[in-house]
Amino acid sequence: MAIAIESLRAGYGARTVLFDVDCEVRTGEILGIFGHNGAGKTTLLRVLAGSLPARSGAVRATGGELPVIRLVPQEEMVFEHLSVRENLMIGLWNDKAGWRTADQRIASVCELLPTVGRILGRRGGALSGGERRQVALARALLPEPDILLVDEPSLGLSPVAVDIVISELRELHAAGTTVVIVEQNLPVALGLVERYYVLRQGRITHETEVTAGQQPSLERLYELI
Amino acid sequence: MNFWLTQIALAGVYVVLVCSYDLVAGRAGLLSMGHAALFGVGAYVTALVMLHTNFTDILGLIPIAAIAAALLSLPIAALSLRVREEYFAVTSLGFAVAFIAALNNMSFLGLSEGLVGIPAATLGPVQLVSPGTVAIFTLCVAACVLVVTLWLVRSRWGLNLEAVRDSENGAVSFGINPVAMRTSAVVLSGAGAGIAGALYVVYADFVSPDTFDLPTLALIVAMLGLGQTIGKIGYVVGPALLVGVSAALEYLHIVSLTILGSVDQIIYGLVMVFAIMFIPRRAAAREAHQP
Repeated sequence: MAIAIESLRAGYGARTVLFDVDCEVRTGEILGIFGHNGAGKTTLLRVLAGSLPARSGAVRATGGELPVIRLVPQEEMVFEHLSVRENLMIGLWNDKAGWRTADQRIASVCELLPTVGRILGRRGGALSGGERRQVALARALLPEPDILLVDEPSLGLSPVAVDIVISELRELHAAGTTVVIVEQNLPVALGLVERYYVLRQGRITHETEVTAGQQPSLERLYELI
Repeated sequence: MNFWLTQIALAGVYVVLVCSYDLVAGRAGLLSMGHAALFGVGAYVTALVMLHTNFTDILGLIPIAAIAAALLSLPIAALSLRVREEYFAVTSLGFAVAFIAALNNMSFLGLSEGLVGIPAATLGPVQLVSPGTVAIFTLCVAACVLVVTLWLVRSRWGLNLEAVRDSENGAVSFGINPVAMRTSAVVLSGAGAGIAGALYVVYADFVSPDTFDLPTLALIVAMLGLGQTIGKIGYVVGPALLVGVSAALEYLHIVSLTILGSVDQIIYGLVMVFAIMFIPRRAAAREAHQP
């Protein structure tokens, strides 16, 4: 259930953001996508999530079945007058099987994200930034995705909250979910990913496998970006 | 006894109005000022059908009234796609004012005297005439509308509707269609107002423009707002409380009959002022939408 992307072009209106991008998401890995603001990282995630159509090129599922892919966007889209539980269920409204088994699914997601379990009855408008991020993450997990795309999980969070989110992503990965993460906070991200691409002005300029215990130097990475 | 039975029937009519108004004003967040007018559409259509044909079967008249009001709510639905919040309230108020003006000026609608001499409605072989039968029938219909409303607001449709109210962009990002949600909410709410209109004709056996003017709208807003503060039982408690207060004032002769209407209006107006502050604010932890 991996994904291969070949000669992908994508953009918005008259503007092309991604030019001839070739890359792949391998089953079971944690993949990083690094780059400056405007390099096209979020656009690549949107194409992967299916919310932005490709102009040309191909996004193919390799290895049989179509994977279930969910995106945790930068802006969490937490509905302020709905309870946290209702906010989670919005993610299932279009999924009949998911809606019927929502209670079990929420319970199992809350095992992984205990914070969410404690605030199920609270209103979306009454949550802190860290809690909102947790709710967005939980909502993306409810459909039991094979591949989870996470856009800037550390954005706007305190160091403690970042640690929590990162360790949750690590646990998810250990449980078998493929994770693709876009992150500006390179020290945090490098400790997490197994492989990364550097995206520069809409093109992939670099690919590296991170071998355990042998982290690439940050200076070198900053140069690449 | 008969006095209280008619008050119970009236409260039943208002339960239907409050349930249907919650769909549009509460769940969809569209503070429509046209709800009393749509109530009037249902009542006038029912009255006209009964006066001009021999059709008096209430189970046939209710759907006719509901469809008529739903159709006339389409302009309000179109409005809801273009303007929001206070602009929507003001423009839908225009609809209500135009409706009352039409009632007062079109001779086939009976001008300001309204339509009188409406024959009694029937339910199979039973004539809905005595206050007891009218009250029981009205309460049965109100209970059905209440159950349907509770089911709707807990459904996926209700959840999506509230998501659109909270954040249109957010809802779109989950694949929810805001145009379809708003339109369906306004039209369903209009159908509910139409049902209330048909029930009103059974209760009152005449219709006049005054009944569907702004004071009635204020009363519906007040009942819904009062209900919002106490949760879902508010659908019943709001109407029961305000109809009850008004009936008690009349029954106990606390104020003279000549000024009773004005006293009612002052009470409704005051409750509305407080209620309107509560309508968009949902209780912190309501029972969740269940699968």
